[in-house]
Amino acid sequence: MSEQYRLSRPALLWQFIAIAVVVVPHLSHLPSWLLVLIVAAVGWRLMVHMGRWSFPHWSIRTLFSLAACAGVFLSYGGIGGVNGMVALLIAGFSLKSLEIHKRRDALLVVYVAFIVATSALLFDQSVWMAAYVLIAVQLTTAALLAIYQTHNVDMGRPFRTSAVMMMQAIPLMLVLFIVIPRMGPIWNLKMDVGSARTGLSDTMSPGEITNLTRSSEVAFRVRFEGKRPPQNALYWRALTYPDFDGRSWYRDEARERQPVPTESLMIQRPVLKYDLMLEATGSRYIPTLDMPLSAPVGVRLNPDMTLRLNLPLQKREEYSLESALQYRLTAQGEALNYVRELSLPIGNRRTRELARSWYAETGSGDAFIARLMAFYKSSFTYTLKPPKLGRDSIDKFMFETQRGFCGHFSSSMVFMLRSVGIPARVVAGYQGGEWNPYENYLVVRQYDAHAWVEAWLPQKGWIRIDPTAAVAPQRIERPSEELFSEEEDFLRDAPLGGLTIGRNSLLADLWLQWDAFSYGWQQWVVNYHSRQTDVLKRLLGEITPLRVALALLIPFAIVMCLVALKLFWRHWHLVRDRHDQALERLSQRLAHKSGLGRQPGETVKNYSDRVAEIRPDLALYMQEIAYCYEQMRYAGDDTGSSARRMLNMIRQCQTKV
Amino acid sequence: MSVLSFTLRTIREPFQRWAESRRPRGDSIELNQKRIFIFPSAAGGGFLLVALLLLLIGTNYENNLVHAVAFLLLSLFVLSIIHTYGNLSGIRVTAKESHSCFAGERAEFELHLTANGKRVRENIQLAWKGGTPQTVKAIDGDGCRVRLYHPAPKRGRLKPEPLLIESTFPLGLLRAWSWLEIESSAIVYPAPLQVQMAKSQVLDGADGGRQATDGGEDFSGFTQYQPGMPLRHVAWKAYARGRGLHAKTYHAQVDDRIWLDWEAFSGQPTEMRLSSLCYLVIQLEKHGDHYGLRLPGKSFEPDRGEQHRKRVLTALALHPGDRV
Repeated sequence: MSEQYRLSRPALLWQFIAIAVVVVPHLSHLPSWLLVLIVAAVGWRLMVHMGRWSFPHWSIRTLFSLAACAGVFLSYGGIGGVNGMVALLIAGFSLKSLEIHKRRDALLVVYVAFIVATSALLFDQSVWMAAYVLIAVQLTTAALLAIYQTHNVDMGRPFRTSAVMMMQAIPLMLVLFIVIPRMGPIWNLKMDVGSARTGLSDTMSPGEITNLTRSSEVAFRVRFEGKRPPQNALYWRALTYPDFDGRSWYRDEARERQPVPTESLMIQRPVLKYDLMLEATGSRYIPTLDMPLSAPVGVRLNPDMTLRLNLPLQKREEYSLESALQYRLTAQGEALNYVRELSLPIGNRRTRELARSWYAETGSGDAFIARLMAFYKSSFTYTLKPPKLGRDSIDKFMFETQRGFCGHFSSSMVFMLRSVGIPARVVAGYQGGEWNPYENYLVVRQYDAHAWVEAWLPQKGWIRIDPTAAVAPQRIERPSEELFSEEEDFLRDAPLGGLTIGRNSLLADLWLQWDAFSYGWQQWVVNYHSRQTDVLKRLLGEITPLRVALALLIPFAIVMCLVALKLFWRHWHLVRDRHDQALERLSQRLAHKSGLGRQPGETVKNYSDRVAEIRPDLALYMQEIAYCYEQMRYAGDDTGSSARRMLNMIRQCQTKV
Repeated sequence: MSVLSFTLRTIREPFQRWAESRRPRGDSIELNQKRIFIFPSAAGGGFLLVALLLLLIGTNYENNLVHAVAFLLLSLFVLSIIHTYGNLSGIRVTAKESHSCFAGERAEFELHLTANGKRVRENIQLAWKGGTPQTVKAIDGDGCRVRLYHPAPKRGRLKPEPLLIESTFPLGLLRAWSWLEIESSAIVYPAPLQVQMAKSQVLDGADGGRQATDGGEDFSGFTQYQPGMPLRHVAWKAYARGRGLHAKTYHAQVDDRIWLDWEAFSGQPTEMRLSSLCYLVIQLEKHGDHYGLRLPGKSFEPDRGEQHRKRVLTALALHPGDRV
C-alpha cells in the first residue's frame, strides 16, 4: 500500500456519485450556501482531476473549513440538533473531497457518506426513504469498491459487485435485525426534526377544521381487539375547549389552575381494547375513543378524560389503550360548579334570547336539547364552504347564513346551552375512519377531523351531542371521503387526493392496499423494537442467550456457506470435471514416460503441439484431443459428442504412451 | 513495561514459532485455508466504528431503520471475510528464475502467479519480509510474472526471506495474508572493488607458475599507487624522496590470455580480495579479454563470454569466507 496512491478516475467519479446521492435527502433542510459549497468543492476537485486547476492552498482550505463551521453554527444555532450535525458532516466531507490525495482521504469520504446516508432515516422512516437509503448505501459501497479495484478499472464493475454483495448481505442483515436485542436510549436527545405537523390545534375558530379536510394525511391507525364498534360510535376525543372569547374556542392555560369539580367515571363493561398508532402531531394530545380507562406511561389523564403527553409528540408512536363506550361521567355537585363551562363573553344577544325563550318553553335540559337538534336539522345546511361571519358571529350564523360545518354547529350549540345554564364544551377530535379490509385496521385521516359538543345534565353527567349528525347524518355514518367527494375544497392539498375518490375504483382499492402495506411497515419495521420480544418468543419459544446465539449463528453459517459455495464452486467444479481429470492423468503418464507434463497455465492446444513435436507418434491423438477440448469448452457444444470423443481419444492415446 | 513486553514476548514467540512451522515451503505453493490468515485491517476497524456509531444513533433515537443500516454494514463486513479470503485462495506461487546481482544491490526473483478457477484475483501485494510491497493488479488462470527484488547485502547464495502475499480486496476491510517460504536462491557476487590492474596479478597462462606471482621479471616503470596494490611493489625510495606513493610495475609477457590469481592479493582480507577479483573480471569481460581464475583449490581456464563470466563470478561468490 504505497502512500502515493492515486485515485483512479472511476474511483473519483464514484466518490462524487456517493456524495451526491447521500446529500439529496437532506436538500430540504440544508441552507443554500451549503449547497453552493458542495457544488464548488466537487467542481474544483473535478477541475483538478482534469488537470486544469491545482489543489487549493492549505490556507484556503482552512479558511473554507472554518467558514463552513461558523456557517453551520449560525444557520442551525449550534450543532446540538440532528440537522446541524448532519449539515456539519456534509460540509466536512465535501471539503474533504477537495483533498483526496491518498487512499485514506478517499476512505474518510466514503465512511462519512455512510453516516450521512443513514441520517436521512432520522427525518423520514417511510418505505420510500428506506429504499432510497438502501440504494444510497449500495452506491457508497460501490465507491468503496472502486477505491480498491486494480483490474479492468471502470465504472460498471464496482456497481455490479456492490449489487451482488448487497444481495448477499441483506439476508444477514435481516437475521441481525430480527434477533439482536435492542437497548433503550443511552442518553436522551431532543429531536428537532421537522416542525410543520398537521393535526388538531389548541384553538378552534369555527372555520379552522376546513384546513384539515384538505389533507388526506394519516392521523392515526387503530387495530381493535375483538369486534370493531359501528362507524357512528367512533368519536375520537382529543381535546376539549372550555373557553370562548367570542371568536374562537380554546383552553386558557391561565385558568388551568382553578379547582376542578371532582368527577367520577362509572363504566359499563365490556370495555374496548385497541392499539393506536399516532403519527407525529408536534402536539401533546392522544385521541381516544370516548372514555380512556388508564393512561400509558408518560401520559397524563386530564379531568376532562382526555390524554395529554408530557412532551410534544415528535415521532410516530404506538399506544395500547382501553376505552369505555358505555359510561357515566358525573360530578358530585351541581351545574353551578362548572364556572368555566358556563361562562360566556358579552355579545350575540339574539342567540341568548332565543335560547332562553326556548328553555322557558321546553322546561328541561333534555327537551331543550331535542328542540335545538330539531332546529339544526330543519334549517341548516352542511357545507365546507360557509359564508364569512363578521361580528356577533353566532348570531349571524344562527339567524342569517345557517350554512356551515361541525365547527359552526358545535360552537353555536355550546353557546346556546351555556346561555340557559347548562354546562357545555366543544370537543375536538376525529370521527369515523376508513376500515382497511386487507389488514383489518382502521385508518383515520386528517379529513376525519371533527368537532362536537359535550353537555352536563344533572342526572346524566357529561353527554355527547353532535349537532352535525342532525344536520348531515351521513357525515357520521359514512366515511368522509365518500361524503365530501363533491366538495371542491375537499382534499385540495392532498397530492394524490383526487385519486382516492370513489370507493369502488381500482385506484381506491390499490390505495387501501398501499396503506395496509405502509401500516405493516410501521408496525413491523419502524416500531419493531416494541414487538421484538413477542416475535422472538414466537420464533424461539423462549428467549435464552443460547437460543439467541443459535438463531444468529445458524442462519449466518448457512448464508456464508452459500456465498462461499457460489464463489468457489467453479473451482471445485473444475477440479472434479472428469474430462480435466482424464487429461491430467494423461499428462502425468506422459510426464512419467517422456518428461512431457503439462505446465501450469499451459493451454491444451499449446500442450498438444508441444507433445506432438517430441512424440510424432501421438500427434494425431493430441491434435484431436485439443480440438475436442476447445469444441467442448468454448464452442458451446452441448450435445456432448466432443466430450465423449475426447475421452475416447485420451484412452487410446494413453495406451500408446 | 519490561513485564509487559516480557508477557507479550512469551505470548508472541510460541505463536510465531507455530506460525513459522506451518509456513509452507517449496518452489511452487498453492494458497489454501491452511496457509491463509485473515484479520480486520485498519480501514476495517474504521468501518466497524462507523457501524458502531450508527448502532448508537439507532439506539438513542430508537430508530430501527438506522439499526438496519448498521446491521447491513456489519453484514458486509462479515461477507467480505469470504470475498477477501477468496481473493487470495487458490493462487499458486511458483519460483521461476532468479537473477544474480552484486552485493549491496538487489537480487531479482521472478515468480509466476496463477489463479485456479475462472475468478480473477485482484490487487494483491507481494513483499519479502521487511521489503517494500509490490502490487499485482490481476492474476488469472494464465498467470502473470512478477519480478520481485530482494536486498542482497552479502555475497554468496541468497535464500530469500519469507514471502508475504496479502490482499485487502474487495472492500479493504479485512487483510488476508500468507507467509511463503519460497525455495529459490540467487547468487550474489562480491561487490566489485575498483583496483588498478597490476600486471603482477595477471599472468601469462603459458608459464603460469606460482612463483610468478612474486612479481614479474622485467621492471617496466612506475605507476600511481592504488589501494589494493601489493605493498612490496611500492617504490619506497621514490616515496622517501617526496614524490608520492608509487608502485613499481613489472612487465610480464602478456598475450590476451590473462590469469587472475587469488594469491596475487595475499595480505588482504578475503572479502577485499574477492571484491577486487570481481572488479577485474567485470573489466576484462568488458574489454573482451580471455581470462582465467585461480582460487585455492579451484581454477578456471581462460575463456570469455557470458557463461564463463557467470561461472567465474559464481565461484567468487561462493568462495568460503573467513570463519571466525
